[in-house]
Amino acid sequence: MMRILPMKLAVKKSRKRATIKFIIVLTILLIVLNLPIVSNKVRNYTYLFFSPFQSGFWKAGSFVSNFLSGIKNSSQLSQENELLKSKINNLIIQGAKNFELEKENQSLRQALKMQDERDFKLIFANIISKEIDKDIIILDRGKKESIIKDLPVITEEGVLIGKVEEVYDDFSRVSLISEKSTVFNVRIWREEEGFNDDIQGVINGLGGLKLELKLIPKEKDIRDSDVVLTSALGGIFPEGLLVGKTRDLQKVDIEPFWRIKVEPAFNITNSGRVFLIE
Amino acid sequence: MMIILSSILVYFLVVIQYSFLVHFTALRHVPSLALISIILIFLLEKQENNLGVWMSLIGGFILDIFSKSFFIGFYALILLSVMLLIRLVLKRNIQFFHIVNL
Repeated sequence: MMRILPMKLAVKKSRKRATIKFIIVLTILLIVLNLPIVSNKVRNYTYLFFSPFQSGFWKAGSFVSNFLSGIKNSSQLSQENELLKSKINNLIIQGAKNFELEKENQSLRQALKMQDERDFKLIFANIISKEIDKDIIILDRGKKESIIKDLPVITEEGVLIGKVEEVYDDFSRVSLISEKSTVFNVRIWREEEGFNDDIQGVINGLGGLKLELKLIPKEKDIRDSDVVLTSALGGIFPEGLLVGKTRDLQKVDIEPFWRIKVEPAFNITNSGRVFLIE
Repeated sequence: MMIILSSILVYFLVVIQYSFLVHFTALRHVPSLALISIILIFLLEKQENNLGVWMSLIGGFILDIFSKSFFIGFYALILLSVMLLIRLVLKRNIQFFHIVNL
């Protein structure tokens, strides 16, 4: 009995020492990992290690989700098809008109020796993952491909997705326009009437892929399905990028502005391919 | 061996969570598979094993990298605290069970 007690005490002491050593090592490790240079490198190499599997899973997820949504919406497809056919016809007519206008515009620009403002240089990138609790995606392009912070990101169709928030060597983190901290200026465009210069507002991200249109006075004529495009006013995004369509318009007596939800036009599950505007 | 196998499991769960499940927006809230699996490991492991400690560090580190938390190690510390809490609660339950059996 007398011998067991000192042995127990020794075991307890050695356990205490091991716990203290573990806490000290953990603290040092946390401090080192959180140094800005180290943390960026650590994130970059972890993404490098994960990316081959991630891109595979992203494509599989995109395929399955598109397939399931196709089954779900099959009843509406024929109606939508008819509507789209009539829209395509209208667009062909509009395209022909635009072609003439563009030619005229180019010759006038040449005459005035002006550069086309919409001549963007695009950098192609793939989405490899999305954070589950935030509207943030990871792209497989980084500093090595001359990506810098705040570059706008668009889809293949020219729909605005977001802007670069953080850049690593081989990857970049993009904050979607629906992320809570995002605010930028927009203009309203109507299919029949074109731009209405009077209607300008501010888009505010609500999180969960939702958007809200703010600061549009109640006396302005705004309707459901009006098109929301970026404005160059804030200097964050280039002019004329598609943001979405107005939905769920409400007038509240005590407020001077409309309450408008915006249905985002982007769908990151569609292809996973995006472009960064340099 | 168990640590390596569990780490590979958590690794694939994180990849599935962040690259596959995020497409199903109808789910609205995607379950954190990695977090659930790590907590299950805590519950099922033997008291004398250190698997829980390793899993909270490795799993927490992977989650920290992918979810851009306040600092690297945030999830690791939370998981470590959860593991200690579970061990404490389990120990109490076992003592209570012995008393009832007596």
